[in-house]
Amino acid sequence: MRIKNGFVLRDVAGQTMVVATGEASKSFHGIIKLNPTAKDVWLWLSEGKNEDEIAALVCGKYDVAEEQAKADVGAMLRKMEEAGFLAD
Amino acid sequence: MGSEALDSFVIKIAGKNVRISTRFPDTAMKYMKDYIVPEDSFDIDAVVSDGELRDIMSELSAENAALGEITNLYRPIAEKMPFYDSVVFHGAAVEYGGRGYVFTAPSGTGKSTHIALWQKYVGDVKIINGDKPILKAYDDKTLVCSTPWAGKEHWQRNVSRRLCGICLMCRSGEDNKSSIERIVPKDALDFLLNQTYIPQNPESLVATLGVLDRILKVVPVYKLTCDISKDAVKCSFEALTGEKLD
Repeated sequence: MRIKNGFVLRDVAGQTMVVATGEASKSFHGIIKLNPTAKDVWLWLSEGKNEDEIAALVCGKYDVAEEQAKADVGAMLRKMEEAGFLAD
Repeated sequence: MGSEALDSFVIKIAGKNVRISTRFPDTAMKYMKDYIVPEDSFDIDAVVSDGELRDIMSELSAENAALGEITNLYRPIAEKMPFYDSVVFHGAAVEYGGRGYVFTAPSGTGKSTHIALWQKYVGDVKIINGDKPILKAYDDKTLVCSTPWAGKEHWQRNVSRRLCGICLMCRSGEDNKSSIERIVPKDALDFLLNQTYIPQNPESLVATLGVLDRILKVVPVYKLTCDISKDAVKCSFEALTGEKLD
């Protein structure tokens, strides 16, 4: 699982935004806003980390229980998949 | 029809040369006369394609074809401006004391009315552009530059001024009291994105976000809730300029 090529992350006035260019722009137009946790998940995913590794990283960085981290990361990844942001 | 078959001339806006290709040269040159430069080289090529004009024309009568083409010529320019640290912005820009201020709000909120009241009650207020100024980001400042595209009143003067405040406008409710507060840029983002030209071209959109970030680092943003009154002018004028209005 990886993020499709072409998504570009930009911080505007402290708000993280994602825009699709190139390959990714064929399936998505517009601007995605990410909160700080979502930004971390996005960046870890683009570094090639898998779902379990990302959940462990979220657990370590933020004060959340392992179960909660797994559920939240899973939910975000499913959302990204449904939106067409991910490739195999 | 390719742009080679059309008449063309060059205008300069926000420091960039733009070649305008048009089917209606007399009307277009009259509309843009304050911006025409006697040069051949250009950075941006602006033309409305036959297909685009057909789409516009389906909503307009034949005599409005010239105006239809002219009002849509800003789009190819707005698509390219982000690559030159600039964005086309929807707002009414005024000059006071050599400084520029932009009022922004969805159409119909009363931007034109508010800047007309600034002229009436403050005096020595000059219009920069009534509808589509360009904001150009530098490291330490932002300029607000006029364009020929200036709304139905066509209020514009070909000048650029240092932008010293962006004012988001909302109509006040039942109590009709005017108020203004400085807001953190992050809270203004959604509003500002709605008032900024959002390019179709993805790379240009990425560049647009970069330009907005640079602008918001140096220009203060205010939120004005107002009615149509001298009190509303006093409110925005004193907050934006730091001066008193009697």
